[in-house]
Amino acid sequence: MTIRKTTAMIAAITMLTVGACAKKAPDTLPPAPDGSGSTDTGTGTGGVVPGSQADFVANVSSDRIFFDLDQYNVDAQDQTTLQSQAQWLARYPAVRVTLEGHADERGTRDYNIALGERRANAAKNYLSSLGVDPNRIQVISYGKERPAALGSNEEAWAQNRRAVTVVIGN
Amino acid sequence: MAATTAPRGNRNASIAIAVLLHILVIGLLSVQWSRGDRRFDNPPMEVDLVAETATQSSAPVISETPPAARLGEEDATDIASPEPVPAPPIPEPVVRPTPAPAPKQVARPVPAPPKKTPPAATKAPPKAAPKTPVKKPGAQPTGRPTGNLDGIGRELTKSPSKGAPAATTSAQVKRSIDVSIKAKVGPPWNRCRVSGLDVDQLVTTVKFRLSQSGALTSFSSVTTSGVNESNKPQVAIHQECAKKAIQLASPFDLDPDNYDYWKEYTLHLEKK
Amino acid sequence: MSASRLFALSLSVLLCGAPALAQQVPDASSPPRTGPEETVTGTLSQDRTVIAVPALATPAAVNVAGLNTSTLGKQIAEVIAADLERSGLYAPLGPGSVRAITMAEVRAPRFADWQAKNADNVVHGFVQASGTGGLVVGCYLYDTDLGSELVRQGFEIQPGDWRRAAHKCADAIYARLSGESPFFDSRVAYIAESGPKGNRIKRLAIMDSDGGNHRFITNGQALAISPRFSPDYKKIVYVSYLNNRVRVFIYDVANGSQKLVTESANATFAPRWSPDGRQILYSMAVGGNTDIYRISADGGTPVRLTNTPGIDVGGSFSPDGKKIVFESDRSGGQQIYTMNIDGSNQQRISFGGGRYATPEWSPRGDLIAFTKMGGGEFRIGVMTPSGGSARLLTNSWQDEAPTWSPNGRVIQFFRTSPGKEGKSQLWQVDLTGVNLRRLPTPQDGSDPSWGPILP
Repeated sequence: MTIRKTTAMIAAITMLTVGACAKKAPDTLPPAPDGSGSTDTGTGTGGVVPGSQADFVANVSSDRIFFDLDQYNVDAQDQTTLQSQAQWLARYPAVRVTLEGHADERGTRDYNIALGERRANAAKNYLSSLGVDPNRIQVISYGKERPAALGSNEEAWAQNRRAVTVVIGN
Repeated sequence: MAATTAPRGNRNASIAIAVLLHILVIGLLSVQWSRGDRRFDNPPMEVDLVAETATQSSAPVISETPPAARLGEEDATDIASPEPVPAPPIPEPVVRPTPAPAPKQVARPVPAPPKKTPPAATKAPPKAAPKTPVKKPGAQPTGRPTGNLDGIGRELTKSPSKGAPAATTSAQVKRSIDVSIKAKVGPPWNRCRVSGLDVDQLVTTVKFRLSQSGALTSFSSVTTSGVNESNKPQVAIHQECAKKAIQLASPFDLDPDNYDYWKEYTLHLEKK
Repeated sequence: MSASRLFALSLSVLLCGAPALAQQVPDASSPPRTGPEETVTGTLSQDRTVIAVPALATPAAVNVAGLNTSTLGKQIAEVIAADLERSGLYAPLGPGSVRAITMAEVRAPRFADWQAKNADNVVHGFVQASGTGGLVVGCYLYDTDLGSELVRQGFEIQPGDWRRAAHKCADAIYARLSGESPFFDSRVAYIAESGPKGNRIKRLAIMDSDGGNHRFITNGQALAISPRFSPDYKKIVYVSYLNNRVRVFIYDVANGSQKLVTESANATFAPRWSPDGRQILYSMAVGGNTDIYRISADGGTPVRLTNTPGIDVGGSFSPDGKKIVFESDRSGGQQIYTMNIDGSNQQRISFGGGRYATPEWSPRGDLIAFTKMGGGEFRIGVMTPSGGSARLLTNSWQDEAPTWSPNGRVIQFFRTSPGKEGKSQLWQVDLTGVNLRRLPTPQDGSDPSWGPILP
């Protein structure tokens, strides 16, 4: 009944590798941190599926926006990024996305979940203001549970204070 | 016994009687006055520990309050035995044999001048370290059967004998008594550990009575000040340690001529 | 026995058996005498009380449910000694370093032997078959100087519960000697951690306060965080990322089923129990704004307790169930507030520099533990419920999320190290700041939650 750690790891790695394909919301395994945000998904079979996560990442200026310590405001650079995302979302009106909110490790666990919620919602609200139907956007906060950068320094922390847009599979 | 009336013979006879009485006491103490055979037939308490997944808990009533002295209670009766934990079918508690007529302590000889230590010695700092009690009033000559061998070596070595009895003041005498009681209580007080938040604020005041031979006869009162929410759980232990320290320090080796001064004494005990 | 000891013993015998003598003493209500007095100032030392814990004796070495009573006698003594040592107050001489005792000695210790070991106290006990498939365990604590019995405990138990009997004995000894309430016979729920920092596997797990009887509850497929044992140990609330959502579940320990604390499309997290186990606090984020809610453990309509644009999160009931302490950033950064359980009278109580988080009310009611963030560090501290007397107990890069022992004397928390490994482990420290030590767990650990004394 208990899944071995190795099995879980193999499954996670497998999922990451095939993450480029139409990404389902996994019901048994936690999603990779910004799983499909990484570029080395290499599906190999020529061409990227339009409206897919890979297509999204390839065609927006960035799949994520960043925040200052304890902040959740969408600054000018964030706005530019989100505008790019909104344009892509307008081209594929059936596509739904998850907005993941994250915080760096320099906060306590529960508060960081709340902070991640703020960030994800700030991004969602801005996308809505650009015309994206909020019903297409699902929000989840990972608090400090899924850092993108593993160091304990300002550079790493700055990368972890983020809201990431992830395409949900068909 | 020999029919001689030489003083040596008398002394031998006294010692022999004392030894006999000690043997009598030893004998009485070694006899089990309780029905010892039944000690292990009954378990002390029949209580069910139910596994955590049971729906009904048949939890025993185990008293969680330590059976130590209560705060501030007049404690003029017993001294040594703490209250047993309340529990119905326990085997008979540890029963001490009824006291045999213990050998009375031989009356002290008239105190020699050495009891009056020079004033300088009494000004030593009140540290409770296990120093040899230089301030102790008196190198007692051997032959006085106090029965307490623990302090004899120390008592013999340190205090210089002064041959001037009447010149020292009663204030000095009182001071030397104070210091000697304090010095004797200090080490056992230190050995008994109290720990917790703000325990340095607790001061336990113990009034106790001594017999003319310096033995502890009773505690008249035990109270503690400096109590707050955080150190409240430590009060009972603080008091218990205080009483135990005084118990272990007694009997005190004090001049019966001054008995009126030291027959009821008050100590404030604290730990910093 | 030396003559002096004999005399001291006979003297104490005489005094014990001479109540008549004492009763003749005038009572304290006689006119106050300004008698002689002195002050004895001892030193508060960190020296541990030496206590001998020989193996428990057994009348006959028999097997009960596969357990040998003679071996159990040693194991029980080992658990008792380990508990006492872990409290930081005692230096036990465990069964491995002292001789065995006979059944006859259990009630009549040879005190001189233990005095010779410099033991201030000695524990004697026995274990035997109950005759009905169980075990009977008895333990006695003695003062070696006074030669007196201080406390006794006895249990009839199922063989599988022998560790609990050992903890109960250790608790009786600890309570009697320290003045504190017991805390060894209790359980801890926490999150077992493994895997790389960027993709941690986090599993809900439970164990005894000494790490025994460890059990994983979830399998790690979905992130599990911030568990709390219910006061009766029958349930655990925790947060699961199952199905990509942040939701509070109530897990039934006995049958393994779980249900949601409330149905909501919003994220729910930071769950907490009330002291009577009837209410659950949780935090919910609506449109990005987090507030604290209270709901019956049986379900129903939640009551909203906070309503500010700030993040109001967490919460911990006072042991009398009348107030709640929580954290909020409404003033610009995380600080600690108290309120009534209906949400009224919200008052800030933390005012030192820096940020304060994760407040937890001591089961004793006298203190609130917290995480303080400042100067690049997270440290565990305590303050009074009015915010006074704040003091820090630990000093490390990231110590977080204190939880109290049942007696309010020991605090557990988790400590994370910096860097790419960034592992977290469970640690504990005495309220006085001493006895800081790591709790061994099968994997790494975080989010400890200490339950009350088992009945």
